[in-house]
Amino acid sequence: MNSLTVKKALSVCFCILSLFILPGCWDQDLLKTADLVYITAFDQTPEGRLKMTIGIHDIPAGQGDKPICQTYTAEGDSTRSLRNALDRQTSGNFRTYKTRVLLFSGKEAQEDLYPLLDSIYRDPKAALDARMAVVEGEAGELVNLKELKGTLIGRFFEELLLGGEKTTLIPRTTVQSVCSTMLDPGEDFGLPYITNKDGAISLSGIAMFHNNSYTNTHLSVEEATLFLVLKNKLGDKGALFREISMDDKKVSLMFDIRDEHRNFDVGVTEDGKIKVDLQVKIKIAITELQTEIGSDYASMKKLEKALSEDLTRMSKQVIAKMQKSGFDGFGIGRQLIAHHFSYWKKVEKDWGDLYKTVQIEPRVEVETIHKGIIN
Amino acid sequence: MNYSVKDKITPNQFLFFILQTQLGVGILSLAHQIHKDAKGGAWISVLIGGLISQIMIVIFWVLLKRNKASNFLQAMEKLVGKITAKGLVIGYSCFYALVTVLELSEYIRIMTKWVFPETPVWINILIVATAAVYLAKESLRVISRMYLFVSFLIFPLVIFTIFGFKNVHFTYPMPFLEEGWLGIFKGANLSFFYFLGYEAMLLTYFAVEGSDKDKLKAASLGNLFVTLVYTFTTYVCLISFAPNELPLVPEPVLYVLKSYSLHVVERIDLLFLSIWMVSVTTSVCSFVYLSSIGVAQLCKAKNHKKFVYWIAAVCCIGTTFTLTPHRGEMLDDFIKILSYGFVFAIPILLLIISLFRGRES
Repeated sequence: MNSLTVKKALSVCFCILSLFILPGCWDQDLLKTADLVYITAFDQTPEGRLKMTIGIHDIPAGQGDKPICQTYTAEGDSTRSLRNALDRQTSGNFRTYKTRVLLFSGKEAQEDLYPLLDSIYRDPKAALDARMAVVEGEAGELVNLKELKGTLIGRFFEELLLGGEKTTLIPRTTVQSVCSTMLDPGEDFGLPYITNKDGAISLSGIAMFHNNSYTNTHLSVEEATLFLVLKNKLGDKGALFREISMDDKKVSLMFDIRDEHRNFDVGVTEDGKIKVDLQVKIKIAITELQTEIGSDYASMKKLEKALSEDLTRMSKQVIAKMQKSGFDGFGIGRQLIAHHFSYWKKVEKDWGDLYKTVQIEPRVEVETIHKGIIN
Repeated sequence: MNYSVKDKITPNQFLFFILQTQLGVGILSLAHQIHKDAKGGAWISVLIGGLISQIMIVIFWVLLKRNKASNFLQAMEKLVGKITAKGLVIGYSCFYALVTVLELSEYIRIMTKWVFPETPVWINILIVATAAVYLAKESLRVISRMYLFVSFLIFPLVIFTIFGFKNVHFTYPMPFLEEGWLGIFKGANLSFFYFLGYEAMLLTYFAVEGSDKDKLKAASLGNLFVTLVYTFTTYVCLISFAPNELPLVPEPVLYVLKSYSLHVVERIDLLFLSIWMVSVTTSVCSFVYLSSIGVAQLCKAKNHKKFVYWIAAVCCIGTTFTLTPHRGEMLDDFIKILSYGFVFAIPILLLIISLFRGRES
C-alpha cells in the first residue's frame, strides 16, 4: 500500500465521518418533539383582547394508533406573544409549519387582519398555504369540539374548505394569496363564511372584506357561487338552483356550471365615469328539472333565454350587495390601476366611496350542453 | 503562467463557464431590488440589463481580439506597458476576490435567514468554500467540465419557478411604465450588477480554442441564457406579488415557492435553495479561480493551485466581517462602484487605447 492510497482512504473516511456528525447539528428539529398545530382560531374577548385557540394533532403512545386532538387557549395582545404563552402550556415544541386552517370569529375579523398574520409572514417555517375562514360567533368553540363525526377538527375544516373550493362555493384563499390582496389597494378579498347552527357546521357563503377587515355582511351560498363564476374562478364545477318563470309556468331546475368564458372590461367614459362591462358565457348541465317543458330545440332555447335573464338579474343583485358593503371582489380598482393609471391616481383617495357608485353591467349567457340520461 | 494544453477549453465549455459564473446569488433578490426603481417595468429593466451586458461582451471581445497574446497579462503588457499591465492584473485579482466575498456574504445571509438560523456562520462558509476550492484548484478544463455537468440543474430551478403560476395576477405589474422610462433605466443600471460574471472573459479568453467568432458566440449565448432566466424569474415574481408587497419581500423567488406545497414535497423553497447552492458554489469557484489566475500570471507561477488556497482563506475570513446588514450594504455599494470601473470604464478605455494604437501602426 503506498502513501497515495492511504491518503485517499483517509479522505474518504473523513467524508463519511463528517456526514454523520454534521447534518442537523444545530438546526435539527425533530418531528417527535414537535407539537404540530393544525388549526388556530382567533377570537376577541369582551374586553377587546385577542384570544387564540389552537388544536394540536397528536398520536398518544400506548393507545393504539388513533390520533387525538388537544386544544389550548390563551389570551393576550399579539399573535406572537400568544404563541409563546401557548408554548408554555404544551409539552413539546410548539410548531406551526403544519397549520392547515385559520379561523376568525366575525368580531375579530372586523379588526385589521394584517397585524394578526404578520408573524406568519415573517416566520421562514410558517405554513403559507393554510386556508382561512370567518366563523359566525365564537371560533374557539369550534376548535374545542376536538372531533367531529370521527374526524379530527383540523382535518375536518381542511376538507370542508378544500371541498368548497372545488365546488365553487368559496374562493381559494390561502394566507399568502390574502397577503397580496391586502396590500393591493385595487382589490378586496372574501373569506369562506362558516356557520354553526346547533352543531351543524356548514359553509354558508363568502364573508365580504373591505380594507383588510370584515364588513359584517356576507354573500349567501347561491350568491357566492354566482360571484365566483362572475369572477372567472369556477372550480371543478359549480351547482346552482333556480326557479324561473317561463310562459307563465314556474320552472325549477338545478344545474352544474361546467365551463365559463368571461369578458371583463373596465372603461372610463369621457365625462370621467367608470363603466364596467361584465359578460359571462356559461355552459351548464341540467341535473334536475322538476317541470315538464318539452325537449325540442325551441323550448330548450327558450329555457336558456329565461335562465340567462334570471341569472343576469341575480348578478345585478349580487353586485348591488357587494357595492353596498364596499367589497371590490372583482378587482375593479386593479383594472383601473393597470389600464387607466392616470385616472386611478386622481380617484385613488376616495376609491372606497367611488366604488359604491360604479356602474357595473353584468350579462350572463347560458348554453346547455348536457341534461342527463333522460330528456 | 502560460496555458498548458490541459488548460485549453472548447467554446462550448467556455459558454458554460460564463453562464455559471454569471448565475449566482443574485437570482433570488433580483426582482425585489429592480422593482424598487422600475416598479412593474422591472422585467424590461432586466432585459435591458442583459442587452448592456451583451454590448460589454462585444467590447471585451473586440479588445481581446485586437490584442492576441498567450494570456491577459501579456496582452495588456503589449498594449499599455509592463507596469500598468501589472497594476491592472492586480486590480482585477483584488476585484474578483472582493466579488467572492460579496457572493459568500450574501449566500450566508440568505442561508442563515431561511434555513440555518442556529448553525454557526463559519460552518456555512466552509461548506461552500471547501467545495469551491476543491474545484477551483483544478485546471480550467476540469472546472468547465464540471460546470457543464451541473448546468442541467438550471432546469429544475426554472421549473420550480413555474409552480409559482398557481396564483398569479397578470395585472399586478401593470402599468409597466408607472415609473416612466427613467425608472426602467435606473432599474437596468442596477440589474447590470446582477449580470456580472462575463468579465471572466478577460482572463479566460486566451485559454479558449477555436476562432474568435466561436468565442463571441459562446459568450453571447451564455449571457442570453442568463438574461432569459433572469427575466423569466423577475416576471414570475412581478405577477405573484402585489406592487406594495414586493418591497416587503427581499427574496421573492423563495417566498413564491414557500407558499405552495406539492403532495410529496412540502417545502419547494428548500429544494430550490439546495439547487441554488450549486449555482452559488460555481460562481464562488469561478471568482476564486479568476483571482488566483491573475496572481499566478503576475508571479509567473507554474500553476495557480497554492494561490487558490490563500485567496479562498482570505475571502472566507473577510466574509465573516461583512455579515451585519449594514456592512453587507456597504460592501455591496463599494463593489458596485468598483464594477463601473473594472467592468465598464477600464475595458472601454483599453479599447480606445487599442483602437488608437491600431491606427498608428
